[in-house]
Amino acid sequence: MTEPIFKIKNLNVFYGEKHALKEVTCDIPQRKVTAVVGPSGCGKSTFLRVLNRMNDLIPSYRHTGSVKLLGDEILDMDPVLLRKHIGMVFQKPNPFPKTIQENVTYGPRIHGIRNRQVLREITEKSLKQAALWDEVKDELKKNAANLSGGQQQRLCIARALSVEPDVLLLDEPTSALDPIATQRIETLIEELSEKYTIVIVTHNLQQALRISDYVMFFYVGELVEFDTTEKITSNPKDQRTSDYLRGIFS
Amino acid sequence: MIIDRMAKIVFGIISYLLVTIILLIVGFLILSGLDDINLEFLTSFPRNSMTEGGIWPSILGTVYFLSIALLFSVPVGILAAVYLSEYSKENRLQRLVLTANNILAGIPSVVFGMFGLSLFSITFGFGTSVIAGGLTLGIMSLPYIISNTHESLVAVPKSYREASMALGANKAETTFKIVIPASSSRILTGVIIAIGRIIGETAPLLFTGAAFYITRNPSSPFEPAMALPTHIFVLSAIYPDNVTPKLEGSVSVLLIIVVALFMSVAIRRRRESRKMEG
Repeated sequence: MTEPIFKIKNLNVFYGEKHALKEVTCDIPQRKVTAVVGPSGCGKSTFLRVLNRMNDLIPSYRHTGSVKLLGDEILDMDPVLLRKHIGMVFQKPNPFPKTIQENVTYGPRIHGIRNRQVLREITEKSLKQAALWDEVKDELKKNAANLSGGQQQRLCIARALSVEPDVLLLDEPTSALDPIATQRIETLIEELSEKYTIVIVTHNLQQALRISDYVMFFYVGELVEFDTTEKITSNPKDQRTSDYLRGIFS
Repeated sequence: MIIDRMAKIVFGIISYLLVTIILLIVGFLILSGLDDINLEFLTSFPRNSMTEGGIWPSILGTVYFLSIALLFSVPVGILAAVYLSEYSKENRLQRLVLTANNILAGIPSVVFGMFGLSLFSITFGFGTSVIAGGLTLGIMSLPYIISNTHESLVAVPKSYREASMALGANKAETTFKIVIPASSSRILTGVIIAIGRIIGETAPLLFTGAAFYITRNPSSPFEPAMALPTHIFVLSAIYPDNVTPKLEGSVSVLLIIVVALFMSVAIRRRRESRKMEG
Protein backbone atom coordinates (compact mmCIF):
# COMPACT_ATOMS: atom_id res chain seq x y z
CA MET A 1 0.00 0.00 0.00
CA THR A 2 1.32 3.43 -0.97
CA GLU A 3 1.65 6.27 1.53
CA PRO A 4 -1.93 6.97 2.70
CA ILE A 5 -3.48 10.33 1.87
CA PHE A 6 -5.90 10.26 4.81
CA LYS A 7 -4.97 8.87 8.22
CA ILE A 8 -8.08 8.57 10.32
CA LYS A 9 -7.97 7.76 14.02
CA ASN A 10 -10.86 7.21 16.43
CA LEU A 11 -13.24 9.34 14.44
CA ASN A 12 -16.61 9.79 16.14
CA VAL A 13 -19.46 11.75 14.64
CA PHE A 14 -22.65 12.90 16.34
CA TYR A 15 -25.84 14.52 15.10
CA GLY A 16 -27.28 15.82 18.34
CA GLU A 17 -27.67 12.67 20.43
CA LYS A 18 -27.25 10.31 17.50
CA HIS A 19 -23.85 8.60 17.35
CA ALA A 20 -23.48 8.38 13.57
CA LEU A 21 -19.87 7.14 13.24
CA LYS A 22 -18.16 5.10 15.93
CA GLU A 23 -14.41 4.99 16.47
CA VAL A 24 -13.51 4.84 12.81
CA THR A 25 -9.81 4.20 12.28
CA CYS A 26 -8.29 3.62 8.85
CA ASP A 27 -5.83 4.84 6.23
CA ILE A 28 -7.07 5.79 2.77
CA PRO A 29 -4.47 5.10 0.07
CA GLN A 30 -3.32 7.69 -2.40
CA ARG A 31 -4.29 7.58 -6.11
CA LYS A 32 -6.56 4.62 -5.65
CA VAL A 33 -10.31 4.24 -5.83
CA THR A 34 -11.77 3.52 -2.43
CA ALA A 35 -15.43 2.55 -2.44
CA VAL A 36 -17.52 3.16 0.66
CA VAL A 37 -20.39 0.70 0.87
CA GLY A 38 -23.01 -0.42 3.36
CA PRO A 39 -26.75 -0.46 3.90
CA SER A 40 -28.78 2.77 4.02
CA GLY A 41 -28.18 4.84 7.11
CA CYS A 42 -24.88 3.13 7.92
CA GLY A 43 -23.00 6.43 7.89
CA LYS A 44 -21.20 6.12 4.57
CA SER A 45 -22.30 9.53 3.30
CA THR A 46 -21.54 11.04 6.69
CA PHE A 47 -18.05 9.56 6.51
CA LEU A 48 -17.48 11.03 3.04
CA ARG A 49 -18.63 14.44 4.22
CA VAL A 50 -16.20 14.37 7.13
CA LEU A 51 -13.38 14.35 4.60
CA ASN A 52 -14.28 17.81 3.27
CA ARG A 53 -16.09 19.00 6.40
CA MET A 54 -19.40 19.40 4.56
CA ASN A 55 -21.17 18.10 7.67
CA ASP A 56 -20.17 21.32 9.41
CA LEU A 57 -23.08 22.99 7.62
CA ILE A 58 -25.49 20.93 9.75
CA PRO A 59 -26.15 22.76 13.04
CA SER A 60 -26.34 19.75 15.39
CA TYR A 61 -23.20 18.11 13.96
CA ARG A 62 -20.07 17.48 16.00
CA HIS A 63 -17.01 15.26 15.73
CA THR A 64 -14.09 13.95 17.79
CA GLY A 65 -10.90 12.12 16.88
CA SER A 66 -8.35 12.83 14.21
CA VAL A 67 -8.35 12.98 10.41
CA LYS A 68 -5.05 13.87 8.78
CA LEU A 69 -4.75 14.88 5.12
CA LEU A 70 -1.09 14.41 4.12
CA GLY A 71 -0.11 15.09 7.71
CA ASP A 72 -2.38 18.09 8.36
CA GLU A 73 -5.16 17.73 10.90
CA ILE A 74 -8.31 18.65 8.97
CA LEU A 75 -10.71 18.59 11.90
CA ASP A 76 -9.05 21.79 13.20
CA MET A 77 -8.63 23.38 9.80
CA ASP A 78 -10.72 26.20 8.37
CA PRO A 79 -13.20 24.16 6.29
CA VAL A 80 -13.17 26.75 3.51
CA LEU A 81 -9.40 26.26 3.07
CA LEU A 82 -9.71 22.49 3.30
CA ARG A 83 -12.36 22.35 0.59
CA LYS A 84 -10.01 23.99 -1.88
CA HIS A 85 -7.99 20.77 -1.81
CA ILE A 86 -10.90 18.37 -2.03
CA GLY A 87 -13.36 18.13 -4.88
CA MET A 88 -16.83 16.74 -4.42
CA VAL A 89 -19.47 15.43 -6.79
CA PHE A 90 -23.00 14.91 -5.53
CA GLN A 91 -25.73 12.37 -6.01
CA LYS A 92 -27.88 14.51 -8.27
CA PRO A 93 -26.10 16.51 -10.96
CA ASN A 94 -26.14 20.08 -9.66
CA PRO A 95 -24.57 22.43 -12.20
CA PHE A 96 -25.06 26.10 -11.39
CA PRO A 97 -27.69 27.86 -13.52
CA LYS A 98 -24.88 29.49 -15.49
CA THR A 99 -23.01 28.73 -18.69
CA ILE A 100 -20.86 25.63 -19.05
CA GLN A 101 -17.72 27.74 -18.93
CA GLU A 102 -18.86 29.69 -15.86
CA ASN A 103 -19.53 26.41 -14.09
CA VAL A 104 -15.97 25.26 -14.64
CA THR A 105 -14.32 28.58 -13.87
CA TYR A 106 -16.33 29.33 -10.72
CA GLY A 107 -13.87 27.54 -8.42
CA PRO A 108 -10.71 29.04 -9.94
CA ARG A 109 -12.28 32.51 -9.84
CA ILE A 110 -13.16 32.09 -6.19
CA HIS A 111 -9.52 31.22 -5.61
CA GLY A 112 -8.45 34.46 -7.23
CA ILE A 113 -7.62 33.52 -10.84
CA ARG A 114 -8.77 36.37 -13.10
CA ASN A 115 -6.64 35.96 -16.23
CA ARG A 116 -8.98 35.03 -19.08
CA GLN A 117 -6.40 33.01 -20.94
CA VAL A 118 -5.63 30.95 -17.83
CA LEU A 119 -9.34 30.44 -17.16
CA ARG A 120 -9.85 29.26 -20.74
CA GLU A 121 -7.02 26.77 -20.38
CA ILE A 122 -8.46 25.49 -17.10
CA THR A 123 -11.85 25.10 -18.76
CA GLU A 124 -10.45 23.05 -21.60
CA LYS A 125 -8.22 20.91 -19.39
CA SER A 126 -10.96 20.18 -16.84
CA LEU A 127 -13.57 19.37 -19.47
CA LYS A 128 -11.09 17.09 -21.25
CA GLN A 129 -10.32 15.30 -18.00
CA ALA A 130 -14.03 14.83 -17.47
CA ALA A 131 -14.42 13.45 -21.02
CA LEU A 132 -16.89 16.19 -21.90
CA TRP A 133 -14.78 18.55 -24.00
CA ASP A 134 -15.58 17.07 -27.42
CA GLU A 135 -19.30 17.27 -26.77
CA VAL A 136 -19.42 20.87 -25.53
CA LYS A 137 -16.39 22.69 -26.94
CA ASP A 138 -18.57 24.69 -29.34
CA GLU A 139 -21.22 25.58 -26.80
CA LEU A 140 -19.27 26.71 -23.75
CA LYS A 141 -21.47 29.80 -23.50
CA LYS A 142 -24.67 27.80 -23.33
CA ASN A 143 -26.54 27.26 -20.11
CA ALA A 144 -25.50 24.06 -18.38
CA ALA A 145 -29.15 23.19 -17.74
CA ASN A 146 -29.47 22.26 -21.43
CA LEU A 147 -27.08 19.33 -21.05
CA SER A 148 -28.30 15.78 -20.49
CA GLY A 149 -28.13 14.29 -17.00
CA GLY A 150 -24.97 12.34 -17.73
CA GLN A 151 -23.31 15.36 -19.32
CA GLN A 152 -24.32 17.50 -16.35
CA GLN A 153 -22.70 15.03 -13.98
CA ARG A 154 -19.49 15.03 -16.04
CA LEU A 155 -19.63 18.82 -15.97
CA CYS A 156 -19.83 18.61 -12.17
CA ILE A 157 -16.76 16.38 -12.23
CA ALA A 158 -14.98 18.93 -14.45
CA ARG A 159 -16.02 21.66 -12.03
CA ALA A 160 -14.58 19.70 -9.13
CA LEU A 161 -11.32 19.09 -11.04
CA SER A 162 -10.96 22.75 -12.01
CA VAL A 163 -9.32 23.61 -8.70
CA GLU A 164 -6.83 20.73 -9.02
CA PRO A 165 -7.84 18.97 -5.83
CA ASP A 166 -5.80 16.27 -4.11
CA VAL A 167 -8.85 14.14 -3.57
CA LEU A 168 -12.13 13.62 -5.39
CA LEU A 169 -15.13 12.66 -3.27
CA LEU A 170 -18.04 11.12 -5.14
CA ASP A 171 -21.34 10.73 -3.32
CA GLU A 172 -23.37 8.16 -5.28
CA PRO A 173 -22.52 9.98 -8.51
CA THR A 174 -24.43 7.67 -10.84
CA SER A 175 -27.58 6.94 -8.85
CA ALA A 176 -29.58 9.48 -10.85
CA LEU A 177 -28.21 8.38 -14.25
CA ASP A 178 -29.21 5.84 -16.89
CA PRO A 179 -27.00 2.77 -17.49
CA ILE A 180 -25.09 4.23 -20.43
CA ALA A 181 -24.30 7.47 -18.65
CA THR A 182 -23.35 5.42 -15.59
CA GLN A 183 -20.90 3.38 -17.62
CA ARG A 184 -19.25 6.51 -19.00
CA ILE A 185 -18.78 7.85 -15.48
CA GLU A 186 -17.33 4.54 -14.32
CA THR A 187 -14.80 4.54 -17.15
CA LEU A 188 -13.98 8.12 -16.29
CA ILE A 189 -13.40 7.24 -12.64
CA GLU A 190 -10.89 4.59 -13.66
CA GLU A 191 -9.02 7.09 -15.82
CA LEU A 192 -9.03 9.73 -13.11
CA SER A 193 -7.68 7.35 -10.50
CA GLU A 194 -4.28 7.51 -12.18
CA LYS A 195 -3.97 11.13 -11.06
CA TYR A 196 -6.38 11.53 -8.19
CA THR A 197 -7.33 9.81 -5.00
CA ILE A 198 -10.99 8.92 -5.33
CA VAL A 199 -13.36 8.06 -2.54
CA ILE A 200 -16.75 7.00 -3.81
CA VAL A 201 -19.89 6.24 -1.85
CA THR A 202 -22.11 3.90 -3.76
CA HIS A 203 -25.32 2.05 -3.18
CA ASN A 204 -24.52 -0.20 -6.06
CA LEU A 205 -22.34 -3.04 -4.82
CA GLN A 206 -21.60 -4.30 -8.33
CA GLN A 207 -20.34 -0.86 -9.20
CA ALA A 208 -18.11 -0.76 -6.14
CA LEU A 209 -16.58 -4.11 -7.06
CA ARG A 210 -16.12 -3.07 -10.69
CA ILE A 211 -14.28 0.17 -10.17
CA SER A 212 -12.63 0.16 -6.76
CA ASP A 213 -9.20 -0.87 -5.52
CA TYR A 214 -10.29 -0.83 -1.89
CA VAL A 215 -13.63 -1.30 -0.18
CA MET A 216 -14.78 0.12 3.15
CA PHE A 217 -17.82 -1.61 4.57
CA PHE A 218 -19.85 0.37 7.12
CA TYR A 219 -22.59 -1.07 9.26
CA VAL A 220 -24.62 1.08 11.70
CA GLY A 221 -21.90 3.67 12.09
CA GLU A 222 -19.11 1.16 12.45
CA LEU A 223 -16.30 0.51 9.98
CA VAL A 224 -16.64 -3.25 9.83
CA GLU A 225 -14.07 -4.06 7.22
CA PHE A 226 -11.58 -2.26 5.04
CA ASP A 227 -9.41 -4.11 2.58
CA THR A 228 -8.53 -4.47 -1.07
CA THR A 229 -11.54 -5.17 -3.21
CA GLU A 230 -10.08 -8.52 -4.13
CA LYS A 231 -9.70 -9.68 -0.54
CA ILE A 232 -13.09 -8.37 0.52
CA THR A 233 -14.84 -10.26 -2.26
CA SER A 234 -12.85 -13.47 -2.05
CA ASN A 235 -12.46 -13.72 1.67
CA PRO A 236 -14.45 -11.36 3.89
CA LYS A 237 -13.34 -11.59 7.52
CA ASP A 238 -16.57 -10.45 9.11
CA GLN A 239 -19.86 -12.31 8.90
CA ARG A 240 -21.74 -9.03 8.31
CA THR A 241 -19.55 -8.23 5.31
CA SER A 242 -20.16 -11.57 3.71
CA ASP A 243 -23.90 -11.29 4.42
CA TYR A 244 -23.94 -7.89 2.73
CA LEU A 245 -21.95 -9.17 -0.22
CA ARG A 246 -24.34 -12.06 -0.66
CA GLY A 247 -27.22 -9.62 -0.59
CA ILE A 248 -28.81 -10.78 2.64
CA PHE A 249 -29.40 -7.15 3.54
CA SER A 250 -28.85 -4.03 1.51
CA MET B 1 -73.82 14.79 -8.14
CA ILE B 2 -76.33 17.60 -8.55
CA ILE B 3 -74.99 19.35 -5.49
CA ASP B 4 -71.47 19.16 -6.88
CA ARG B 5 -72.57 20.56 -10.19
CA MET B 6 -74.50 23.39 -8.55
CA ALA B 7 -71.61 24.21 -6.27
CA LYS B 8 -69.33 24.40 -9.25
CA ILE B 9 -71.68 26.79 -11.03
CA VAL B 10 -72.23 29.02 -7.99
CA PHE B 11 -68.57 29.23 -7.06
CA GLY B 12 -67.70 29.79 -10.69
CA ILE B 13 -70.11 32.70 -10.96
CA ILE B 14 -68.67 34.24 -7.80
CA SER B 15 -65.11 34.03 -9.00
CA TYR B 16 -65.92 35.37 -12.45
CA LEU B 17 -67.84 38.16 -10.72
CA LEU B 18 -64.52 39.20 -9.20
CA VAL B 19 -62.94 39.45 -12.62
CA THR B 20 -65.93 41.43 -13.83
CA ILE B 21 -65.68 43.90 -10.96
CA ILE B 22 -62.00 44.47 -11.60
CA LEU B 23 -62.57 44.82 -15.33
CA LEU B 24 -65.38 47.29 -14.70
CA ILE B 25 -63.42 49.44 -12.28
CA VAL B 26 -60.18 49.42 -14.14
CA GLY B 27 -61.70 49.43 -17.60
CA PHE B 28 -64.22 52.15 -16.85
CA LEU B 29 -61.71 54.42 -15.16
CA ILE B 30 -59.03 53.93 -17.78
CA LEU B 31 -61.45 54.41 -20.67
CA SER B 32 -63.13 57.47 -19.21
CA GLY B 33 -59.79 59.24 -18.98
CA LEU B 34 -58.28 57.94 -22.18
CA ASP B 35 -59.54 60.74 -24.40
CA ASP B 36 -58.05 63.32 -22.01
CA ILE B 37 -54.58 61.91 -22.47
CA ASN B 38 -52.40 63.36 -25.14
CA LEU B 39 -48.78 64.35 -25.47
CA GLU B 40 -49.43 67.85 -24.19
CA PHE B 41 -51.22 66.46 -21.12
CA LEU B 42 -48.28 64.18 -20.33
CA THR B 43 -45.52 66.71 -20.90
CA SER B 44 -46.74 70.09 -19.67
CA PHE B 45 -47.17 71.77 -16.32
CA PRO B 46 -50.62 72.42 -14.92
CA ARG B 47 -51.82 75.94 -15.65
CA ASN B 48 -54.55 78.34 -14.63
CA SER B 49 -55.11 76.86 -11.13
CA MET B 50 -54.70 73.35 -12.57
CA THR B 51 -57.75 73.62 -14.75
CA GLU B 52 -55.55 73.51 -17.81
CA GLY B 53 -52.22 72.03 -18.81
CA GLY B 54 -50.92 68.63 -17.88
CA ILE B 55 -49.38 66.36 -15.28
CA TRP B 56 -45.70 66.33 -16.20
CA PRO B 57 -44.47 67.39 -12.71
CA SER B 58 -46.65 64.67 -11.12
CA ILE B 59 -45.21 61.98 -13.38
CA LEU B 60 -41.67 63.16 -12.78
CA GLY B 61 -42.33 63.55 -9.04
CA THR B 62 -43.67 60.01 -8.83
CA VAL B 63 -40.49 58.79 -10.50
CA TYR B 64 -38.42 60.77 -7.96
CA PHE B 65 -40.33 59.45 -4.95
CA LEU B 66 -40.09 55.88 -6.23
CA SER B 67 -36.38 56.23 -6.97
CA ILE B 68 -35.57 57.34 -3.45
CA ALA B 69 -37.88 54.66 -2.04
CA LEU B 70 -36.19 51.86 -4.01
CA LEU B 71 -32.70 53.20 -3.40
CA PHE B 72 -33.46 52.63 0.25
CA SER B 73 -35.67 49.55 0.26
CA VAL B 74 -34.02 47.34 -2.39
CA PRO B 75 -30.57 47.06 -0.78
CA VAL B 76 -31.90 47.04 2.77
CA GLY B 77 -34.67 44.58 1.92
CA ILE B 78 -32.41 42.20 0.00
CA LEU B 79 -29.76 42.19 2.72
CA ALA B 80 -32.38 41.59 5.40
CA ALA B 81 -33.79 38.71 3.36
CA VAL B 82 -30.28 37.31 2.83
CA TYR B 83 -29.76 37.36 6.56
CA LEU B 84 -33.06 35.58 7.18
CA SER B 85 -32.56 32.87 4.57
CA GLU B 86 -28.79 32.32 4.62
CA TYR B 87 -27.43 33.35 8.00
CA SER B 88 -29.99 33.29 10.79
CA LYS B 89 -30.89 30.00 12.38
CA GLU B 90 -34.47 28.82 12.34
CA ASN B 91 -35.31 30.09 15.78
CA ARG B 92 -37.64 32.39 17.61
CA LEU B 93 -35.81 35.53 16.55
CA GLN B 94 -36.17 34.63 12.88
CA ARG B 95 -39.89 33.93 13.30
CA LEU B 96 -40.24 37.21 15.18
CA VAL B 97 -38.60 39.16 12.35
CA LEU B 98 -40.78 37.46 9.73
CA THR B 99 -43.93 38.11 11.76
CA ALA B 100 -42.94 41.73 12.32
CA ASN B 101 -42.40 42.00 8.59
CA ASN B 102 -45.91 40.73 7.88
CA ILE B 103 -47.38 43.14 10.41
CA LEU B 104 -45.46 45.97 8.77
CA ALA B 105 -47.14 45.09 5.48
CA GLY B 106 -50.55 45.41 7.17
CA ILE B 107 -50.08 48.80 8.80
CA PRO B 108 -52.36 51.45 7.29
CA SER B 109 -50.54 53.82 5.00
CA VAL B 110 -51.76 56.90 6.87
CA VAL B 111 -49.83 55.63 9.89
CA PHE B 112 -46.70 55.41 7.78
CA GLY B 113 -47.39 58.99 6.75
CA MET B 114 -47.49 60.14 10.37
CA PHE B 115 -44.37 58.13 11.10
CA GLY B 116 -42.52 59.63 8.14
CA LEU B 117 -43.66 63.10 9.11
CA SER B 118 -42.38 62.72 12.62
CA LEU B 119 -39.12 60.92 11.79
CA PHE B 120 -37.96 62.25 8.42
CA SER B 121 -39.70 65.63 8.13
CA ILE B 122 -39.38 66.79 11.70
CA THR B 123 -36.69 64.82 13.55
CA PHE B 124 -34.29 64.59 10.60
CA GLY B 125 -35.34 68.06 9.45
CA PHE B 126 -36.08 67.04 5.85
CA GLY B 127 -39.34 68.97 5.93
CA THR B 128 -41.81 68.31 3.12
CA SER B 129 -39.48 66.93 0.51
CA VAL B 130 -38.80 64.24 -2.05
CA ILE B 131 -36.39 62.56 0.32
CA ALA B 132 -38.82 62.47 3.27
CA GLY B 133 -41.62 61.17 1.06
CA GLY B 134 -39.34 58.73 -0.74
CA LEU B 135 -37.97 57.26 2.47
CA THR B 136 -41.49 56.90 3.86
CA LEU B 137 -42.54 55.00 0.75
CA GLY B 138 -39.29 53.05 1.03
CA ILE B 139 -40.21 51.82 4.48
CA MET B 140 -43.67 50.94 3.23
CA SER B 141 -42.24 48.84 0.41
CA LEU B 142 -39.71 47.09 2.64
CA PRO B 143 -41.99 44.25 3.81
CA TYR B 144 -42.94 43.33 0.24
CA ILE B 145 -39.32 43.27 -0.85
CA ILE B 146 -38.17 41.33 2.22
CA SER B 147 -40.83 38.64 2.04
CA ASN B 148 -40.55 38.23 -1.74
CA THR B 149 -36.76 38.10 -1.69
CA HIS B 150 -36.80 35.71 1.25
CA GLU B 151 -39.12 33.34 -0.60
CA SER B 152 -36.99 33.59 -3.74
CA LEU B 153 -33.79 32.79 -1.85
CA VAL B 154 -35.33 29.89 0.06
CA ALA B 155 -36.49 28.44 -3.28
CA VAL B 156 -32.88 28.18 -4.53
CA PRO B 157 -31.95 24.48 -4.31
CA LYS B 158 -29.66 23.56 -1.44
CA SER B 159 -27.54 21.61 -3.91
CA TYR B 160 -26.26 24.86 -5.48
CA ARG B 161 -25.05 26.05 -2.10
CA GLU B 162 -23.40 22.69 -1.39
CA ALA B 163 -21.65 22.66 -4.76
CA SER B 164 -20.31 26.14 -4.15
CA MET B 165 -19.16 25.44 -0.61
CA ALA B 166 -17.51 22.19 -1.75
CA LEU B 167 -15.41 24.23 -4.19
CA GLY B 168 -14.00 26.23 -1.31
CA ALA B 169 -16.30 29.24 -1.53
CA ASN B 170 -17.28 30.88 1.73
CA LYS B 171 -20.82 31.77 2.63
CA ALA B 172 -20.70 35.33 1.33
CA GLU B 173 -19.28 34.20 -2.03
CA THR B 174 -21.88 31.47 -2.25
CA THR B 175 -24.67 33.92 -1.42
CA PHE B 176 -23.66 36.72 -3.76
CA LYS B 177 -22.25 34.73 -6.68
CA ILE B 178 -24.60 31.74 -6.74
CA VAL B 179 -27.73 32.13 -4.63
CA ILE B 180 -28.70 35.71 -5.47
CA PRO B 181 -27.95 35.40 -9.22
CA ALA B 182 -29.96 32.17 -9.29
CA SER B 183 -32.96 34.00 -7.84
CA SER B 184 -32.40 37.45 -9.37
CA SER B 185 -35.33 37.17 -11.74
CA ARG B 186 -37.72 36.34 -8.91
CA ILE B 187 -36.24 39.08 -6.73
CA LEU B 188 -36.82 41.59 -9.52
CA THR B 189 -40.43 40.41 -9.81
CA GLY B 190 -40.79 41.17 -6.09
CA VAL B 191 -39.42 44.67 -6.61
CA ILE B 192 -41.97 45.29 -9.38
CA ILE B 193 -44.75 44.12 -7.05
CA ALA B 194 -43.48 46.53 -4.40
CA ILE B 195 -43.52 49.38 -6.91
CA GLY B 196 -47.09 48.50 -7.84
CA ARG B 197 -48.05 48.57 -4.19
CA ILE B 198 -46.57 51.96 -3.36
CA ILE B 199 -46.99 53.89 -6.59
CA GLY B 200 -50.57 54.78 -5.72
CA GLU B 201 -49.95 55.60 -2.08
CA THR B 202 -51.42 58.99 -1.28
CA ALA B 203 -51.58 59.47 2.46
CA PRO B 204 -47.85 59.06 3.22
CA LEU B 205 -46.92 61.61 0.58
CA LEU B 206 -49.52 64.12 1.75
CA PHE B 207 -47.78 64.15 5.11
CA THR B 208 -44.19 64.08 3.98
CA GLY B 209 -43.44 65.11 0.45
CA ALA B 210 -46.29 66.22 -1.75
CA ALA B 211 -46.48 69.68 -3.22
CA PHE B 212 -49.95 70.99 -3.89
CA TYR B 213 -49.04 72.84 -7.04
CA ILE B 214 -45.61 73.66 -8.39
CA THR B 215 -44.57 75.62 -11.42
CA ARG B 216 -41.06 74.22 -11.71
CA ASN B 217 -39.64 70.81 -10.98
CA PRO B 218 -37.72 70.29 -7.73
CA SER B 219 -34.02 70.94 -8.14
CA SER B 220 -32.93 68.83 -5.16
CA PRO B 221 -34.32 65.94 -3.12
CA PHE B 222 -34.89 68.36 -0.28
CA GLU B 223 -37.69 70.13 -2.11
CA PRO B 224 -41.26 68.88 -2.34
CA ALA B 225 -42.64 67.43 -5.55
CA MET B 226 -46.01 66.62 -7.00
CA ALA B 227 -47.01 62.98 -7.43
CA LEU B 228 -49.76 61.28 -9.41
CA PRO B 229 -51.85 59.96 -6.49
CA THR B 230 -51.65 63.16 -4.47
CA HIS B 231 -52.44 65.16 -7.59
CA ILE B 232 -55.56 63.04 -8.05
CA PHE B 233 -56.48 63.63 -4.41
CA VAL B 234 -55.97 67.36 -4.71
CA LEU B 235 -58.00 67.62 -7.91
CA SER B 236 -60.88 65.61 -6.52
CA ALA B 237 -60.94 67.14 -3.05
CA ILE B 238 -60.28 70.78 -3.83
CA TYR B 239 -61.87 71.24 -7.26
CA PRO B 240 -65.18 69.48 -7.19
CA ASP B 241 -66.30 70.33 -10.72
CA ASN B 242 -64.27 72.14 -13.25
CA VAL B 243 -61.19 69.89 -13.46
CA THR B 244 -62.97 66.64 -14.26
CA PRO B 245 -61.12 66.01 -17.53
CA LYS B 246 -57.74 66.53 -15.82
CA LEU B 247 -58.79 64.28 -12.95
CA GLU B 248 -59.98 61.52 -15.23
CA GLY B 249 -56.84 61.75 -17.30
CA SER B 250 -54.62 61.53 -14.22
CA VAL B 251 -56.50 58.51 -12.84
CA SER B 252 -56.23 56.85 -16.20
CA VAL B 253 -52.48 57.37 -16.42
CA LEU B 254 -51.89 56.01 -12.91
CA LEU B 255 -54.07 52.97 -13.53
CA ILE B 256 -52.40 52.20 -16.84
CA ILE B 257 -49.03 52.19 -15.08
CA VAL B 258 -50.28 49.95 -12.26
CA VAL B 259 -51.98 47.50 -14.64
CA ALA B 260 -48.83 47.39 -16.78
CA LEU B 261 -46.70 46.64 -13.73
CA PHE B 262 -48.88 43.76 -12.57
CA MET B 263 -49.25 42.37 -16.09
CA SER B 264 -45.48 42.31 -16.37
CA VAL B 265 -45.37 40.45 -13.05
CA ALA B 266 -47.85 37.88 -14.37
CA ILE B 267 -45.83 37.41 -17.55
CA ARG B 268 -42.56 37.07 -15.60
CA ARG B 269 -44.14 34.56 -13.22
CA ARG B 270 -45.39 32.42 -16.08
CA ARG B 271 -41.98 32.51 -17.70
CA GLU B 272 -40.30 31.58 -14.42
CA SER B 273 -42.56 28.62 -13.78
CA ARG B 274 -41.99 27.42 -17.33
CA LYS B 275 -38.25 27.68 -16.73
CA MET B 276 -38.59 25.68 -13.52
CA GLU B 277 -40.30 22.87 -15.40
CA GLY B 278 -37.27 22.80 -17.67
